[in-house]
Amino acid sequence: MSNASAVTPRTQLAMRQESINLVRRARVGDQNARGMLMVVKQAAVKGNARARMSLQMIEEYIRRNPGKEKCRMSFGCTPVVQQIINRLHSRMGGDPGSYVRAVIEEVPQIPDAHHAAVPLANNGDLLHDKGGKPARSRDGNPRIKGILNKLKTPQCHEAFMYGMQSCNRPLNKLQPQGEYSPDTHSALHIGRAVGIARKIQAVRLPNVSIATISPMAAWELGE
Amino acid sequence: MPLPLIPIAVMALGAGAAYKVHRNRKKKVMTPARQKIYDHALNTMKDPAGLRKLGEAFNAQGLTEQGDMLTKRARLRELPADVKAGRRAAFQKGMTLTNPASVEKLAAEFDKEGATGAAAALRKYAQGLPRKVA
Repeated sequence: MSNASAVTPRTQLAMRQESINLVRRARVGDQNARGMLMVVKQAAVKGNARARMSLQMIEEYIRRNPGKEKCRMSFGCTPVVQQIINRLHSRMGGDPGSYVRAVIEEVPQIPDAHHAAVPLANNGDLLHDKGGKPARSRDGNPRIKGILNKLKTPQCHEAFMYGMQSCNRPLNKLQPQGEYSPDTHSALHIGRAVGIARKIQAVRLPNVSIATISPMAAWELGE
Repeated sequence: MPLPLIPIAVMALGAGAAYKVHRNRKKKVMTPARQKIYDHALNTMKDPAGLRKLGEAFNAQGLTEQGDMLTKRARLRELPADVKAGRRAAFQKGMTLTNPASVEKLAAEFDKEGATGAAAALRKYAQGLPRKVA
């Protein structure tokens, strides 16, 4: 008798409920649920009978209840969005500011600057000055200086710095002072993306705490 | 057994069996309240003793998957220093990779070990990496 046929009706019901729960959680951005779905799929591909049954339930639920909500979380959430991102990424070149701005303008359904931050982190240093020492001032780093130079007004500079310094907080928790023009708002996004990119780069360095990017990960990894 | 007592005995046995089924059904179900406690413990709890205690409670309720996960998290802090250092190095290496599939694979490994925060950080990073569209 196979594993799948040994599953009792009650277990099947529990599996179905858990599958629905996983899909619902994944749709609202739960990273753990997405990971679990991937694990289920991998196990099903490897031939695990229970995983195959779960995958069938998951696919059935998705087919019957297609997602209606807008993309909330990922570059990769729809192929169209992914194509736009890939196109922008291939054009990024030496001007990360315009890349982040283009991401915000062309894919407004992605509310989080984190997605723009990863390509920024992977395309040149944001932490050091020309001499290779840690950049102390706001424009010590040539890339950041280049971005700041392209921002038009002092308000944009302020918004950029505010976004960069507050990058740990979710975008909807940022409370800018006064009314923000579209340019200023864009500067805030760019600052936030640069701030997160700096954290990603910092955590790659040997003597920097993992808590810089995730206090929970730091605890789990024994810091 | 006297004949009039037989229906009563059958009814009592039936009621007993129904109660047992009801109890078992309730026992292994992840109710919303349990889910809330589990998520809270997973995302915020840093006390190994508390995690272990909660893990045992989940196991006692028949929710072994969740119980094991909480116990694994409690054990994370007690790992040898070299294992912790190795995992930190793997995490840092993962944050430099440019292939999203590799990063997600590493995240799945961290998930298996109970390090869900590290896995989430890696997945968030992987989402920002350009990937091929089918």
